[in-house]
Amino acid sequence: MIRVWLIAKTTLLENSRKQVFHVLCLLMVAVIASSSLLSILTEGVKLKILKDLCMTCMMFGGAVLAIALGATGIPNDVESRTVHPVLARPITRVQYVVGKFFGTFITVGIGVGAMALAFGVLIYAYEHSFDTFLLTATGFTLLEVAVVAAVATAISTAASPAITAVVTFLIYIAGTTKIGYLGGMIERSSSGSVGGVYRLIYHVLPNLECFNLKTALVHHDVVPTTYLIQVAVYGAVYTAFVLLAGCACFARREV
Amino acid sequence: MRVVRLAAVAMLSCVTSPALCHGAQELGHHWDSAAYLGEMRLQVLVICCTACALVVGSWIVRAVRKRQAGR
Repeated sequence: MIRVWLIAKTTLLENSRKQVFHVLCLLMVAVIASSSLLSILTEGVKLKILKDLCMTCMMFGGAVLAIALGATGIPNDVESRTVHPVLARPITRVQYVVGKFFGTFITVGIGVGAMALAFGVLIYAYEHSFDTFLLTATGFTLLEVAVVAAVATAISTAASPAITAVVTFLIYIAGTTKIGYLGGMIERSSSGSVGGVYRLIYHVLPNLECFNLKTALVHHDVVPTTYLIQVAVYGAVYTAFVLLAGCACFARREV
Repeated sequence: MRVVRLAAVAMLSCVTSPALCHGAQELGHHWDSAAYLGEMRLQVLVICCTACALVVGSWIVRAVRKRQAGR
């Protein structure tokens, strides 16, 4: 566990120096901060639009950060050969991959935390009270980010940064529209063996829409606790499985 | 420029995904929709089964190798 933490700490320091992290975090915080200007146009639903826009920023910004940082971590180490002295020490490849994932996740978590802080301050300025459901929504956004980071880390064990980023981004888009859009499309358009392949891909894709609690935050809807527990278990299980697949792939790879 | 365009299209597709939904059920809350719950449970079940199969498979392979090495 200490070795995993050491790798995670090094990855965190490495990622926090990357320009993409600073630029994306500043951009998203700026969009969240300036969303109050946009909502001036719509007096009646000002707060609803503000919450909607801020949550979208957090989810999209977090996912893009996870893809950008997760896709470059391992391939850059392999290319610059810094992976050799690390693996020459008593650190297994599984510990290395898991450490890389946690490093990426903590970095993105800091970014999403900054966005959530800006969002919380805005809500407090408007409502003069703190919406505690924001913490739950942020927690589930982080869980979504963990799934995306795990997918990016797993793919990056076998592919180049560009391919990893593109494939993970496609998986993110497909996972976000999985049940609502892809499901209906597959049901209508496919049949036979091709349909079987489509269905297989459909069931392998992560269901990222279930982490989206934007509607509940905007409309003050009550989300059942059992549902939240199921989603949390689903996120943890999916992340662990994808990471395990990535570890198995990296264990057999020549570096 | 292409990256910015791609990112804009991706963000729009994420934001407008509820509008592209098919059927009234999907347009409601996803925590009330049986499709979301069913898919989640199915995936967790498949992952657990795959993990169990992998553990049992590797255990059998190890046992066979051990027996072959013993001979």
